Amino acid sequence: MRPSQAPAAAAQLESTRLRLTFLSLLVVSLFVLLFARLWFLQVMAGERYAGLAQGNAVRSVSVTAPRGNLLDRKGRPIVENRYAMVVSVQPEEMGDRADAVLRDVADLLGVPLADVRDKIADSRVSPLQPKPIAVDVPQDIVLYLHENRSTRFPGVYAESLPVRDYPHGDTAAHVVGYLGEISEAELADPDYEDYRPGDTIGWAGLERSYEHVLRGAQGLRRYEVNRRNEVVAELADVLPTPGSDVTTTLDLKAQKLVESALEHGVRKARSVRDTGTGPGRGGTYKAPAGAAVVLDPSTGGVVAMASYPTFRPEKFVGGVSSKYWNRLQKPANDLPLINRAAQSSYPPGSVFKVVSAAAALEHGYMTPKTELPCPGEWYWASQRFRNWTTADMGLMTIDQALEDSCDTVFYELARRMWTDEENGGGKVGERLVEQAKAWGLGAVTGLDLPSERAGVIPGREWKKEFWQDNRRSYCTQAQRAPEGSYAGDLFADLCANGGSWRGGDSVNMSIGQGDVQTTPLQVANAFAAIANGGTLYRPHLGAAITRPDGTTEPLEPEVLGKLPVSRRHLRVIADGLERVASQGTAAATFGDFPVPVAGKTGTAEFKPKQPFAWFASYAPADDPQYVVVTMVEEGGGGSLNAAPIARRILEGLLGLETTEIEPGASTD
Amino acid sequence: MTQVTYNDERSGRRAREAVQRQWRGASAPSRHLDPLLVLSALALSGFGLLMIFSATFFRLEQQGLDTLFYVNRQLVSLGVGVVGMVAMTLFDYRAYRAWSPLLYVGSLALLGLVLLQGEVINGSKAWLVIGGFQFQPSELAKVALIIMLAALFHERREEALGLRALVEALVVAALPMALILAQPDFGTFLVFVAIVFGVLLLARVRVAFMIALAIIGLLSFVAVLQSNKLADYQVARLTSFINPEAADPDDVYTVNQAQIAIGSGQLAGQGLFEGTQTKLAYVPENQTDFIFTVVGEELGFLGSSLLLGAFVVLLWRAIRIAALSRDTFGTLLAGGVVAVFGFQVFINVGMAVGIMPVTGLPLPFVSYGGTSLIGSFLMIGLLLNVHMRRFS
Repeated sequence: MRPSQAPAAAAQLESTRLRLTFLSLLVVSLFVLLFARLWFLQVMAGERYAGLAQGNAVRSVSVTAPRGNLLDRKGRPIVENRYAMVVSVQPEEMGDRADAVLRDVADLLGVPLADVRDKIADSRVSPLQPKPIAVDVPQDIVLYLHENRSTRFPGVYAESLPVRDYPHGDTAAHVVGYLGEISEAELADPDYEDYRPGDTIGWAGLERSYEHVLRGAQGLRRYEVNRRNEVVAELADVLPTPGSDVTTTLDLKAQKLVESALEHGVRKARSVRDTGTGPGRGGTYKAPAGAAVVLDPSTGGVVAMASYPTFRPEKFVGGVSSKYWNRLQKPANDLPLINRAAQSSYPPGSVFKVVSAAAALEHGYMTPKTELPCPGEWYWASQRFRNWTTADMGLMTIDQALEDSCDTVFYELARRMWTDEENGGGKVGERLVEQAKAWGLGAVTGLDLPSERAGVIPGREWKKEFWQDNRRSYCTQAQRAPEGSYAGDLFADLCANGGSWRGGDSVNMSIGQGDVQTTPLQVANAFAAIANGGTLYRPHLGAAITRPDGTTEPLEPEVLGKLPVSRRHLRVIADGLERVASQGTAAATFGDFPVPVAGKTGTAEFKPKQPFAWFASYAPADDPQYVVVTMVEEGGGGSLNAAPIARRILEGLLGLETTEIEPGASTD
Repeated sequence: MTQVTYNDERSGRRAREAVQRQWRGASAPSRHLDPLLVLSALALSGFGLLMIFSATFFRLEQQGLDTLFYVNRQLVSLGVGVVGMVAMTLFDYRAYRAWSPLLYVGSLALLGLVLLQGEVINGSKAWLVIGGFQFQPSELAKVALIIMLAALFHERREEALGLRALVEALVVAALPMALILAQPDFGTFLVFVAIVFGVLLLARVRVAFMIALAIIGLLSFVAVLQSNKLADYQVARLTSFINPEAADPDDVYTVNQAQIAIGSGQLAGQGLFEGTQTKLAYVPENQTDFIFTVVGEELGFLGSSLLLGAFVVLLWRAIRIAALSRDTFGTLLAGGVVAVFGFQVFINVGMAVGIMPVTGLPLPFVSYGGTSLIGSFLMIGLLLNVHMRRFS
């Protein structure tokens, strides 16, 4: 085809050379491109990338400080720490595989998927924080998770963390409280300014009131991690400072005794027939709940504090399940989270009579020798007030009135006091109200537990305010009620004059009824003052704080004040209380008790419920070591169902032979 | 006794050495070796061993394994590769022309076998497992295709190349390429495209034909993208430059981390074995396809330049060999090899620095991987052969 071979060959050679040059240029230009890009990445932008690399590889993790322990008065741990394998999940890291991963991990851990979802959805936990879904995960499961994390379990972590340990189970549950995730509201509170979302704080009990002592300081650990966030090396450690230990005034042995006695006593009350005239008559007592307090009268230290029903603080370890939480919140389950010894107030009934007796003696309405009649019923104008018994018990001194818990004696005293107050033209103070307040009633005692209830000591001022707050409702109800009906008249009267403190109010108050409400702790503290000769201490649980360096700071008892009662009058009241046990309303329970006991029964009407049973006492009466107060909600008479619990507690506290809890007498 | 054995061995060795001296003297081509080419290949391999060690020792140590595990395996391959390189030079390269159809059909058979019997690794059925050793037939097929195409065009060196020759060559190339696409291994497929380009260029196929071919190639590439024949992740990979949103998050992550690793090396690097990105495996596959990130992070711009410089030397020698070849066959062989190395280095490093899509190609001589290393040395052997015999 071509004219000549030779020029063609030369042309071919030319062409090949040209094309080789083209190939060389192509290669050179590609390499120039690479060099240029490298120059940009490494020299021009290198610093920025170096920073990114650093950020990639180093993670800072705060290290939870082990919380301080809660110890009993002898240094025995009530709450301590143990290290537990906790599995947490971080759904954000699972991407669109979240469903499958969560299902697999739930399967592996043997927990229902619903529970896992529930814990993830918990709004109290920051979305950025891994959510703990299982505590105490066995070693083999943890290893399996580690092995398969990159493939099957992204965003699933297993860590050994300090968690609360309760060597004595639910003992002192209400006192020690429980832990939980810090809430949004708390995070906003300056008190918790060094806390971060996801931190665990005390939600209740001593865990809450001593939060700042127990918590310690978080440590910071810097890790080198790889791209799967697996730790490959530890770089530096700021060691966490463990929290301080709190030694409490509790005595573990006494606490267990009190809890067991309370539980038995409350359950026993449920089988006791209600022979009263109240709404539950004919049946047995409902007795849904109860409380018991033991105080050391010489310091105000709480030796034991129990509330029934109770709960299991272990259930809060690693985050409480909403199922358990809801169960605790349900009124039908009698709200086991409430510490009824301090967070609930009740009409005290006749245990209040010590205050009325003191007011009468101090203001001269009675002398230790004066006698008043004790009829079965007592009239003020046309209004009838009954004693707890229909029998006329004749004349009695004030100590006898305490012994037999004679209501009518106190009615008469209340009438005289009220009359003087009304006629005093402002110069005569409110005898009962002032006395009760001086005994620490109607106000928080300052116990070192959160959410203490103040209770109510009414009075003229209180009633007026209460009326002003509720007047509108009284008046509407008066209008709605049929004309001439009892309710109509009642509300019309309340609407018009409900703000005035009437004689009946004083009469009711004198026997701890009406609007009076106290906590079992307040009653115990008042009786402690009687027992120690008139000093009112601040009841407390904290005895000492031991820091991690070993130094101990004792928490000294604090005196709140003196009872405004002379020694002599206090002696009269104490004598009456001793006779309550030896021959009075509690004699059925304490008559044969080998140690002298001083006590007072109380049966508080709280309609439409069955009466609340109270027994407040101290022993030995001649050298008081312990104040014991027991209360059973809807438990009937104090002598019937509260005193037997106190007996069982005192037997244990004083090292006596123990007896079965038997219902006492159906007196007040 | 020991003494006797020693003496025996020594005398045996002396006898062997005498024979070897005779051989050396007898074979003239051995006097025309290209030491720079061999040196650059060996330097790159040594560089690679160091980088493989750096990329893997920490992870192996963490798992309580032998820290030299990968290095030892790569050393074995290097040994095999060097032996293969020497073997490639023993026979006159012109003899390969006669053997080319057999090599070609053999490589096709292996590529077929891998589709039937192959092991799926990283989504591709590209590996044959024989007695515990894995190897990639496509690496050998590269060499076979270069030889086959070179032989084909050598036969027509006297003709003005018409469409027929082009079609023939394309059919020859299309068979192994189709098998490789079936694995699917798109990266290696592109290397074959580069081989075809390199050989066609130096075979003096008309520029108009080549441009037409490039346009047809591009159009069919677009057509394939549109046709849903490719898996979504493949489309995403290939189009991630135009459409970064659609890119596979794993790829985005990898490319991101690779750039962080390389960038953080700055001018002089973080220091050998000191790269955190490398040690902590932020870049996946960093002993294989992403080994350049180790170089970049630990040795910086200077080390990277040294590595690329070694490749520049290697390619310079290869192009020089293509120019010096005494015949068209030699030129085309060298051209094919230049195309393979040039393309793989550019794609691999370009992918690591973020200017090329993630295609999963090893960096010749440097990446961990036996077949690639052996195949690369076979190609060096081919170049040497052409160079050695340029006067004979």
